[in-house]
Amino acid sequence: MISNNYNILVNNDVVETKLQYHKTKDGIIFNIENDCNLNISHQFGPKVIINFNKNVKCFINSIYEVPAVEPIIDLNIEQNCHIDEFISFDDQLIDLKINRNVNVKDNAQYECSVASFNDCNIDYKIKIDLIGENASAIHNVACLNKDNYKKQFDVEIINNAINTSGVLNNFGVVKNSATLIFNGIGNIIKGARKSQAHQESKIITFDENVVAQANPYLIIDEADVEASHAAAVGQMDEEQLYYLQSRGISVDEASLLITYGYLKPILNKIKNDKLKNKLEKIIEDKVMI
Amino acid sequence: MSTLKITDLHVSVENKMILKGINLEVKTSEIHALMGPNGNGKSTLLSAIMGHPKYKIEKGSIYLDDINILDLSVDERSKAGLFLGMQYPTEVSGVTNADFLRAAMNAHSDKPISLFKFIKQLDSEVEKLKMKPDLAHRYLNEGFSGGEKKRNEMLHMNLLKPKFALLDEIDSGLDVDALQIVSDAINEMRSDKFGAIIVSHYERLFDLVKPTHVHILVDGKIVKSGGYELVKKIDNEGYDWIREELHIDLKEEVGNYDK
Repeated sequence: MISNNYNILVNNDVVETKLQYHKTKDGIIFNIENDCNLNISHQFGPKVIINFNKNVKCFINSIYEVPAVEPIIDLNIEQNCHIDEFISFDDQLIDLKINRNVNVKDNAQYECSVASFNDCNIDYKIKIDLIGENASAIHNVACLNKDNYKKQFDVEIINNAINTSGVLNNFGVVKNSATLIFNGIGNIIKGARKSQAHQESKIITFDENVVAQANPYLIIDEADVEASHAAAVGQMDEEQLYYLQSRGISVDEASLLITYGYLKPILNKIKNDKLKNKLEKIIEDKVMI
Repeated sequence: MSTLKITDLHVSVENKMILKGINLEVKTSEIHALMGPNGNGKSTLLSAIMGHPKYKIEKGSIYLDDINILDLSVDERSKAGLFLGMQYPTEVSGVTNADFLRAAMNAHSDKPISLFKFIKQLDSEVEKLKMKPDLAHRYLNEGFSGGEKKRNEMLHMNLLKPKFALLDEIDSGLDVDALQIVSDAINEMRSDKFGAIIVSHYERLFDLVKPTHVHILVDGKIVKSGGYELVKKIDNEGYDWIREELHIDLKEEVGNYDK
């Protein structure tokens, strides 16, 4: 149980936190030396770089809040660290561009779950570099998009070292005239033997006017690896809707149940219990209105 | 006492007329067996009563007491007191049976059922149906065997307590023990507040759940009605005697639109 809790609020040049930091031309840099929980509220301003010293365990709760114009939080994760991150978005956001970099060194683990249920446009890009032996990363996205909003998630994991493991899971529901695009990129560099790159992307569409794409890319330049991808875009099953209605559930409530049911299995793919619980709660809160 | 009254019902699917004038009146306390060769419209009738969007009502009426149920949506029909036990219950991933049932029971009630009361009722019915306790907490019908799905349909029926149950080959895929359990569940529902239309091909179900009325449906029409003796006759002789006795040309399957 980690008892140290810190908040970081970045709004333009104003930084509110009890943690030490220094400003450089590259951005605001934090060095985390001990196990802790971090609550990061990033509203607007310079890039934030968080360096985790060796052996640190940390749970990061990242919230992107208004006005959140192209906020950047990069993570450098040293050897043997165990970093879990939960990313969510303020309901007031309208447009958000995120471009993140995460570097993971030897024997370190990074698991990130993104919950995107708000009505806004999101262009989310993350590149996770597994740069040390036995480094691993799991990146999960659960997304509901509706009305005319566009959300795109480009998630790339690069296996640069031996015996590294990268896993992507993207589960989405898209309604009305909204757009949802998942681009999953697994990139195994030559020499990264015994590495793994796996990804699964699933989107269910509720309406004819939506745009939905689940694009898996595997770029593999090494023979001694394991890699897989599964991508599916499908329409909501009318028979499911009928079945639920035949038990007295209204069509609106039945749609919510199907949405909930479609997203919920992503929870089984999350290792960290705290991440799992937070995502489960947000799915329940945002979907089962 | 309630009445489900079907008058001159014509139903098409994909521009093909399947039901060609069904007249049927079912009262609570009655169990109507609906028999007939495959593909002649039995399941279509049940699905049309429940309001499956695939089936188009071309003519006729269906009243539940004084409510024209053709004016109601599928969920409103359920709340009015109709229940369809399906031949092929749909799987819904991510939604547990128990969560779904609680939502369904709440939809049927003016005020939400307490968690304690719900669990008590659920546990009691699960035990009666000799279901595996974990089935209630697994995703709806996902990975259920054929027999488990049918018992699950009975679980839904027992908890929702409809006025009229429409049971579509609820006995298919059941072993002898499971058939007894499902039959017990239907018999337990029998009262002056419950009626049913049961589609089955087999005497064994109607031995266990004795129908008050038996109808034979051929080519979209009820061609003969009677009592339990009709079940016996069909079991012994099949349907060929209909051709001779009623001068009806028994067609091969006209198309099974129910699957």
